Amino acid sequence: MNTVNDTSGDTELIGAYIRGEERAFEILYHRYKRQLYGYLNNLLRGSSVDPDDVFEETWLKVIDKLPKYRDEGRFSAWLFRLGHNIFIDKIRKNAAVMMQSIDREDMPELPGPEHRQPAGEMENIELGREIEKAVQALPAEQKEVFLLRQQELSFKEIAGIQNCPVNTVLSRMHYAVKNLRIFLAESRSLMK
Amino acid sequence: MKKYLKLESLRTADVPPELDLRILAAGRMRQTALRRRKRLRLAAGGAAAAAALVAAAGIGVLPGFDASSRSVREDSAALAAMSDWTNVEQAGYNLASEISSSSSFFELADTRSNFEV
Repeated sequence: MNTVNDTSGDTELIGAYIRGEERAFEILYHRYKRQLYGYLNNLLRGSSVDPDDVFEETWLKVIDKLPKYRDEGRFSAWLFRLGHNIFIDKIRKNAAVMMQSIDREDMPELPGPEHRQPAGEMENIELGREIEKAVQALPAEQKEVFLLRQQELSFKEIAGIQNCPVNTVLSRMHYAVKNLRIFLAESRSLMK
Repeated sequence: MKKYLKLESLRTADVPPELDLRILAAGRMRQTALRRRKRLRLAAGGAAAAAALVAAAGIGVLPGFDASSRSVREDSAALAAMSDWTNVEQAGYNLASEISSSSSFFELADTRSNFEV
């Protein structure tokens, strides 16, 4: 018998999962799968660690550890922490491959003056693409903080995931935003 | 909280269907195992309760013990009655002792007198 549905809260779903109710895990998985996959794809782009592997291992770990899960905060923060720990382990094992932090000199070539677009006609979608490129150019820790903030995690939760003080996270976010502004300003000036 | 730009392409991505299927299958297997464990726990608990009932019923069939009808108050009254009977018996014994000691005394007195020269 199922006591949960799509509107049930995370805590309710976890309780139902522990009781063995069939739909509980399915609902929880569908609720968070796109966010976790998006985070891992963006975080691991350019590295040799396969985001699909990390994604699958993260959910297998959730399946295993969920019966012992204690309500120590939001489920989403716990989920991203599991994902973070798994990709860190893989990177350490795969020590020959470093997470590439693309130097500004190595940034993909932007269109030269002959391809410039009329002023004011840069669409939101193009801006989005520029921001994505700029995010990929950030140092790894700044990139992760920025991506986790996109997932609406608090700085305290991010500090728990990165295992560092909150002030360190704040500093990383500050420099991430500063670097993004610089990258975007440069890319716009190149397009003029 | 400061508002800042949120990009859907940085937040979410579509999961390949084969990944979905594998993970959901693993989740279903685990939940089946959890349900099975829960059923076993309930069965073990039921067996323990049944064993306790059998043990209690076993005590009830011992001779002289009518567990179903006796209450604690009845037990106390029965014990009190037994001790009363013991008091009556004790009184009878005491009287008998007195009588026998008196007769013994007189017998002794007669015996001594018989041997006096």
